[in-house]
Amino acid sequence: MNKSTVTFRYKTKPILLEVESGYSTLGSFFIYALHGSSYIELFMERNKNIHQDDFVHIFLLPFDTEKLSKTKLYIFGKYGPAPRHNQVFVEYNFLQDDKELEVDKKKSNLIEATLGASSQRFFNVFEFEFKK
Amino acid sequence: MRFTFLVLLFCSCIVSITAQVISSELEDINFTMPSSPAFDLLGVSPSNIHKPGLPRDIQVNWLIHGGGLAPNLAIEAEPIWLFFNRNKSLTEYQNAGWWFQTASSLNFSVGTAKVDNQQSLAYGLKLNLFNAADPLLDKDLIEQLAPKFSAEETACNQLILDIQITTDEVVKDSLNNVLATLKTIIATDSVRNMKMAKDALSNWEGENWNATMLDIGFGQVFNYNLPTVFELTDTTINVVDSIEFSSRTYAIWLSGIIGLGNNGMVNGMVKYTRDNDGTGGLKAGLNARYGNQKVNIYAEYVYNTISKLRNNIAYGVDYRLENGLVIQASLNTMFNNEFELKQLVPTVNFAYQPNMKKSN
Repeated sequence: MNKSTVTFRYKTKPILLEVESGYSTLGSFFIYALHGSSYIELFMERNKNIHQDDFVHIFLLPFDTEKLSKTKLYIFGKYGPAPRHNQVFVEYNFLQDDKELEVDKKKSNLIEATLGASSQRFFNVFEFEFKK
Repeated sequence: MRFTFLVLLFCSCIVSITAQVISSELEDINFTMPSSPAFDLLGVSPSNIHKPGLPRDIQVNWLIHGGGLAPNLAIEAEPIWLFFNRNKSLTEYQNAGWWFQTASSLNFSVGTAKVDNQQSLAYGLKLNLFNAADPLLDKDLIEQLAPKFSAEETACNQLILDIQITTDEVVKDSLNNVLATLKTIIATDSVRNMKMAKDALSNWEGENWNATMLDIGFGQVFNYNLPTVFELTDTTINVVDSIEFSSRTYAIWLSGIIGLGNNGMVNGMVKYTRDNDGTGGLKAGLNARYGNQKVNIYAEYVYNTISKLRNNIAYGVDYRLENGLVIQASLNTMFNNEFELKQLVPTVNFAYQPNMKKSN
């Protein structure tokens, strides 16, 4: 599990999650939001599979930014390299007001691995902190 | 000439060493058992008709031709794929178009063979102009191979979240126990899933082993006379103790494959060769195969205007083992213009493709 804290600057502006599947990654991912004693799967209806590497998926997070500090975002990914490739690269970025938000631990929002022909599951948790 | 030889030797060593490092990490698909252009040029391949093939990272061939165990060796690699295009994404490869994909298939091979009292060195360059079954362009195959969460893995994700929100320690402990059991099941399943992915590749290979392809190639052969045993042992003769250049031949060829049903394949070739003394000629033929990607038998006919033995009929078998070793054996029967049998040449070739199947 990779845990990170994302700092956001505006309580009124929406936050976007950008999932970039770099080359040569194929796979699948699930996004869950955990708030207090309950959790829900986000964007259930979308196609959860990545069949093209070098692809960007953008999601508008349906959170009330006032309550964001008490919300955790869980991303479960299962990734593997495309045929004749051996590495995976996935980046989870958060954007607000067209600017990339800061993640406390450098590279904690990145998945980089050399897997050969196999696939692997990755588990990332994001917490949010408001800072003016 | 010595310079050319050294450059070729150097290139082949560099390609070989680099390719071995890279190819050990690659999951490759190669099911066509293509013939080595260098051995084809030297005229010692089990089949006289060049068989097109998909790019493979590296292949080493060791060949026994006619009698004896002469060390006939050929090394081949796809330098553009290895050094430039392998680092491009799948999407880039798919969107790049014909030129880029064709350039990726450039194959360079270098080989030597000793026939009678002549040692020959050849290099060949070939391009795959058309390939009806490129795994990197097959979206259905890629979709099949793309990792997906199993039901157990999805349940595991939700269990992790349940553990996070549970405050009751007893419930948390029992959920952790369930999670541990689930992880064991997932570990077992991952072995099964890997096997399923391999099976998907294997099925794809089986369905496409005889896919339509077209190759174009160019190469050169350098022939050297070797001192005879008589010359070497007779002290009264002043013998040059090294090989002596005798002739050079250029060749250009076009070869293709057309599949017939699930188990048949027709392979044709037209080759033009020209010697440094200006004499030239054509070699053309058809090869019919029956089998699958693992084992196939063939019979072929080649008409050769360069040789006095113009009619060649060969029978052979290709057998691919699991560990990347391919054994090719043939019996070549050579006839003159009156169709009188003049020569019988048995040939066995061991081709090793290190990256053909990766077991991890």
